[in-house]
Amino acid sequence: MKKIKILVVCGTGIATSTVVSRKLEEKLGEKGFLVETRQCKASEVERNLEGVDIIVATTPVPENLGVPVVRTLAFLTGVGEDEAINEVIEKVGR
Amino acid sequence: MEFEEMVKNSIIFTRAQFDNAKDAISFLAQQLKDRQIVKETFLESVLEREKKYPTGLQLGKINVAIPHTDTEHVLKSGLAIATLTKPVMFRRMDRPEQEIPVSIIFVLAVSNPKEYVKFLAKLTTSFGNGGYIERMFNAQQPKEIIEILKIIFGREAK
Repeated sequence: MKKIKILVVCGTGIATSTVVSRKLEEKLGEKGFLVETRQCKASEVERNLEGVDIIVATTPVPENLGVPVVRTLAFLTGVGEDEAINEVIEKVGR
Repeated sequence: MEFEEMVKNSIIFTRAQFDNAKDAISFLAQQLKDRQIVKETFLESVLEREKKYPTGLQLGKINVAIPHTDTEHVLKSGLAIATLTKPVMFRRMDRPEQEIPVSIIFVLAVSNPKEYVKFLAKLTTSFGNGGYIERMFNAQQPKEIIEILKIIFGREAK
């Protein structure tokens, strides 16, 4: 199975994106996906796009990046997590 | 990191009152600095970051905010919490163009996100379930919040 490469974006690329990354690895792992996450600040999205299948962000990110974006707090707060996971899977197209 | 260490580095104020978000963050950051949990530069950096990337989380009746900044401004991981009798306005993390009234502020001092992630994850996921936020908001004493943190973090948190 091919890996899903996820760029996880928050304001500082530290606290929030670390929580979101772990959660994505856990939840997508349960569904049988291989996941690789990379974290960055919202201001550094453009230079971190190489090989990325999807962006999961807790803050606004630039438009027209050529990569699907899911903007959600679900993986931070746990509210609406299942819906958000389905949106990630759907947008990544697997 | 052990739960005990985390509690030792947690500074909690219940039923506090501030005029605005900046005052509240400044007060809490000062407490962290006084305990040598963060550096001099922490406050200015948190305020700057809050302008660019706000941290208000809309949860419903009781909203929270989690101001924080880069690890370089932090000496060791810790947490400063204030519950407010009167909410102050924060901009939303996911929609910065919107302001929301916030009743609990968690200023996060993160020195090593890998080490801290279990605590952070347990804290933030508690925002969305189990009525923990309501219980924190209703606490009269800091020790009541510590009891809630014990439940949230669980003894197994490392």
